[in-house]
Amino acid sequence: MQAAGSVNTDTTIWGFVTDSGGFSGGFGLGINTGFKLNAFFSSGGFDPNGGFSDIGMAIGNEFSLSAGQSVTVSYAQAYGDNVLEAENEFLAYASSAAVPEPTSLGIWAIGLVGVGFARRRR
Amino acid sequence: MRKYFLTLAATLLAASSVNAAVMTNGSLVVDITNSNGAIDAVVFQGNDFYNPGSPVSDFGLQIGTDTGSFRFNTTTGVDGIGMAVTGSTATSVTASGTYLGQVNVTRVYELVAGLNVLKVTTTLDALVGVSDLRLFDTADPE
Repeated sequence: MQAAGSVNTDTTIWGFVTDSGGFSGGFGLGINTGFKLNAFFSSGGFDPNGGFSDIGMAIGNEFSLSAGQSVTVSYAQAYGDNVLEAENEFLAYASSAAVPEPTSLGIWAIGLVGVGFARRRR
Repeated sequence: MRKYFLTLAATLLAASSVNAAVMTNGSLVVDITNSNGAIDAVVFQGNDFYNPGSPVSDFGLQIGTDTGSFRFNTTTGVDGIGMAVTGSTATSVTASGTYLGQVNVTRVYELVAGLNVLKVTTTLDALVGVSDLRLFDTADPE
């Protein structure tokens, strides 16, 4: 993750949510209430390392913006027939993606997170 | 079924209408719901990653820890922020809206040329000063 410029990016986190209460109080998959969002931000991120039967992904960013200021966030999802293929797709993308300089006032970079998904076996 | 999930990090800066705006590169097909700008479906080589089971591919905003300001847009059609698809090409879809009258929100979904990669870019333009604006994306691929 990388932040640039004067935008306050106090919190930039990514992590997993699980169906086994990976976050406080049984987070469940997805973030569908403000309370779950607060739990996600306060957790600091979580990676089950394959320890759960079902996992999801969440990315969170926090900004303080003045009127007229803007911020842009990008992430990428890479797909493949298997883990290696998905990883290679993402690496090819990441290596080709330039990191532009901040341009005009209030336009700043925030990090990119890549997520690779391998095709499910049916 | 077996599921693999990888994460990597890098750095980068960025930037039609009734049911879904569809873009594809052949192997990867992505539908964006016209009425809320959320991902409706991502299908890779015939397999839908988001809709089996409980579909989750959502994004949302909140101001600080104020749960009353929580708004999100979901795969299942919730349009809490108030967004809609405002443009599309064969390989990109743009959705726009306004959060609580305070922040203009633009989402751009793009298929990266030559790769099976979906790039998602969110731009937040503050109409007034906003402290601790929280943006999140969450997904449950199956």
